[in-house]
Amino acid sequence: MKSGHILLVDDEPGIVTALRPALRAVGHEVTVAVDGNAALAAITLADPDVVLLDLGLPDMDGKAVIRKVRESSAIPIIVISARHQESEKIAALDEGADDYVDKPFVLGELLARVRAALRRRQHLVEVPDRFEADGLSIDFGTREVVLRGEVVKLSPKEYNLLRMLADSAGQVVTQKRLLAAGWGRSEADPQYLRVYIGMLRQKLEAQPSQPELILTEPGVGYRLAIAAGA
Amino acid sequence: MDRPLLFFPASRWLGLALGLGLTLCFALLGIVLTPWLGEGYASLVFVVGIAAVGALYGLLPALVSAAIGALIFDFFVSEPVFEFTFTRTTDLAPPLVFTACALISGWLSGRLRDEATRASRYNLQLESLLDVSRQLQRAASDEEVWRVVLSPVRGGRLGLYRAVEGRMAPVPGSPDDAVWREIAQAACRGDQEWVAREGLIGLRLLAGAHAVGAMVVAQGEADIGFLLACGRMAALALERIDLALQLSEVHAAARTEELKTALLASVSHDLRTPLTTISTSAASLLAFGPQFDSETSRELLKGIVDEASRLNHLTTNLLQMTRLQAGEQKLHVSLLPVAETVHAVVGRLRAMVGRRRVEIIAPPQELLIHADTALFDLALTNVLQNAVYYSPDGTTIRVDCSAQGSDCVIAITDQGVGIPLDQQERVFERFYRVERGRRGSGLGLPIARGFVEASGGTIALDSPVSEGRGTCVTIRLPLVEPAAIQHGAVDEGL
Repeated sequence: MKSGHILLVDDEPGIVTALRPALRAVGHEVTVAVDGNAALAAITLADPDVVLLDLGLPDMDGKAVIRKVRESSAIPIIVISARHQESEKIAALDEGADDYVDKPFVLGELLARVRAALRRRQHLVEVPDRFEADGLSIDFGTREVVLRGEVVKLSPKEYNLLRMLADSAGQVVTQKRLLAAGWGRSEADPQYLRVYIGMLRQKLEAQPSQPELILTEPGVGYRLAIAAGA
Repeated sequence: MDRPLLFFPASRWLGLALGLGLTLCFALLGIVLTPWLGEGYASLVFVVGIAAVGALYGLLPALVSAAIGALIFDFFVSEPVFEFTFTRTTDLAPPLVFTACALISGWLSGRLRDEATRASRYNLQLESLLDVSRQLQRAASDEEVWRVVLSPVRGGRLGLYRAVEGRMAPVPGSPDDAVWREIAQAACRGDQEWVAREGLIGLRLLAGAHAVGAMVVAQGEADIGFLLACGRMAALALERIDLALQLSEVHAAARTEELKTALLASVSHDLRTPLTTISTSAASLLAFGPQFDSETSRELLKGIVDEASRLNHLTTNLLQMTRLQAGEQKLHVSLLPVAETVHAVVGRLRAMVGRRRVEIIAPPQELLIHADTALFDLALTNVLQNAVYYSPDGTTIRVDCSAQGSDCVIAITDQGVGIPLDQQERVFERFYRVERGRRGSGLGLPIARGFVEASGGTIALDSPVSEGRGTCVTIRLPLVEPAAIQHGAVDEGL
């Protein structure tokens, strides 16, 4: 799914005016909502594929919008925020947002994030049996990981973490979700996570000290940096 | 402290006179009763009188009473009557018995009086301690503490010294004297809680286990137990003042920190939003320009221009805020025409005003004020912008300029959503924004107030204006009389 229906939620007319033509130019259909209530109504009525959500809305907090949406829908939500605070991002991601982009963003990057979200949206509809991108292939049935034609042996925890990252390829995954995937408890020590991510990088990265595949989002989590050509 | 008890007359002479009177009364009674009682029993009446005088008026009146009683007894009662005779041995008995009785009753009453005096003194000390403790609770500064502990000391000479880095610093009001300081120092060092030397007493001021300082007072002006008690309370009061000071410092630091955080959050948010629009519009044009129709391209370009001017306005606000904070010397004051400036500002905001109506009312003769040009312009812009932001299309914004007495009054009234009562003061705080939107920098009204106050005027806010809607911001600035200009009192050019 390369193009889809995007719901743009922002009360800044300038940003709406600036972003809408670009989204349309790459083939997306765009619906605009200027506050939280309009956004909730549009999600129900217009059935968009991805929501681009500004956190500072005039009528309600962006996090409250995410919470309400998550009560009934798994639609991918990308948060756009000018509040550059880790706690704010983590809170939004914990509420169920899929990804976030800081203002001011680079247009190309935002469009890539939208593509990744659309891909994830597709996965929600039809559960895939494998992940394929940039020489990395994961068979979800046999749990076999192949990197550039060679089979990589992963421990069960490593595999679970990689699977979690691959499920949201291109999008940030919070430490909390990764801990839950690897250890079954989201309150486990993040130190374990750092160690296992380090081991995954040893096995998958060409240069583990300069990772290009598993990227760190400081203070928030990790991101599998595949521009999901799939 | 020597408050007289009720039955102890204040003056010694009065005591003597009353004692004499009482003696005479009993003597008369004794003389009158002699025919029935006989000489021996009549003397008992005299004894009762002397005992009463001793009990009531003390030793001296009792002795005087005994002597006079003995003479009267000898002259009027004992045989031979109306004659002083001391021939028989029995004639010596009454004076001796009377004197003994006077001595015993006088001594006993003296002791009683001492006890009573002591009790009353303790009572007074307790009362004054209570008073001191009550007043110390209210003391908000070191000097007040000194004043309070000074009040019960008779000589009026008392020093409080705070231990500051091992040295003794006199609390304002205390004698700044080397000897006094020395004794304060000594009081803090020794094993005992107090030292006495050179006619002075130094007491350590203990709050818990550590000494906050020392109290020095001249010897003999109050007893040591009382002074120690006062010292303890003073120490606690000084300690409390220290803690209150520390607490307020912590609060002030926290507020400054809060303000800084708010500044950073606000400025970063307000800078990023227009920057995002500009960069996104430009990037869109760059990447997809050829695909866009002319209308879309024009809108993107207009967005860039609009947001750049918004950034510019924000920068101006921040700059002027800095100028205002730098103080009055940074303001360039000149003579300004009010209505003309209002028209200019409204003209500049025309695009933003959109489908709202702006009504400007001004007297035919131009109103003149003394103010900083850029700040006056900015203050009007900020207040008008708020009026526009918070009122819907189709409403009217009224700018009413008038002269009221020696003031120029500019009232800007909108028919917008209004400002909740509990937030009407807070909107003048920097970086505060009413929680129903997030436009603006939170600097607009604070700058307006800063400017108006720096120009010797006032700014007030009323909301709602009518039917639960609308806000009215009233700016009052000192009017410059046209006469003053004609007389050359004002020479700055227009």
